[in-house]
Amino acid sequence: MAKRKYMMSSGLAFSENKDMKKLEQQAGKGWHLEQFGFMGYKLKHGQPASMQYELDYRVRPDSDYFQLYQDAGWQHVCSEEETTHIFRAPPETKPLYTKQQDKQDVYQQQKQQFGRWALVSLVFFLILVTVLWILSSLFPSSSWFSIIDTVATMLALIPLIFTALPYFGYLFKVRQLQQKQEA
Amino acid sequence: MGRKDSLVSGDLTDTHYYILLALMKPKHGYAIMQTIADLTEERVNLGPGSVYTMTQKLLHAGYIELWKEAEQRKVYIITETGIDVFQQEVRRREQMVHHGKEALQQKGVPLPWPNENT
Repeated sequence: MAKRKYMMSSGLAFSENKDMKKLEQQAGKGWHLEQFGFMGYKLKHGQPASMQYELDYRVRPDSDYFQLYQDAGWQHVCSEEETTHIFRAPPETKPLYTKQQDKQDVYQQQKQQFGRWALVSLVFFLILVTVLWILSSLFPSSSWFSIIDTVATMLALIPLIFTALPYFGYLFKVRQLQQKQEA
Repeated sequence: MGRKDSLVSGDLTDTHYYILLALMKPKHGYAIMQTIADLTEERVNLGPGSVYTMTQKLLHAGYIELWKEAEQRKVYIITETGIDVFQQEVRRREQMVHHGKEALQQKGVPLPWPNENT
């Protein structure tokens, strides 16, 4: 049985390059990416190999997409949510994006997607807080209610955080690439 | 967004230009990459992500169309609209080169290719 281990991700919206570099280092030690895991990656042990990893976002791409990347030397390793795809290739292979504008477009789409989700989460959060506030004024001295109040607020904060943070992450990436292009 | 606008306004970027000329004959994505790299001696070197993104955009603009699908590869070819746009673009670029040469001659600077009589 092949040995497996888990590697944590620092959040793709923030540390895509760092994660890919870490995967390359692991490949050098014989730990190869097998698939996405919970907030990270599952690695499988094998022969050490010099590899480069790249990540791409594309919503439900057709087989032509994977075939083209394969033809260009990029082997598809795994995908998450049919949107986030990781590829690997030998060191000298031409990068996926040779035009910075295209990479920027990819991040731009991610930013818009997370922006929409963050907005929905925010509206949901605000409605919840308002409802709780009305209820708390109806039952001013109930202690069980204040517990529910706290728990519900915390739970509603989770989707907001997990959509708003990536949104700002991609926003930052787009800005960074724009500045690089102007420089 | 800038690229989309350039497609609408009719001006083609260098990469659009090369993809369109590569698609005068039907080709799949990787063949487009190879053709352009060979033609320009690797000066225009497109990665698969860039080629995929751009063929999608050109397809959306109606400048290229699906010719056939074989072994999971989509083969594209330039459309009539694409040829019209490309023709105008060649003319525009020819004019640019002409203006450039004129400006150099007036300045008394030798042309980039001094042996050529134009």
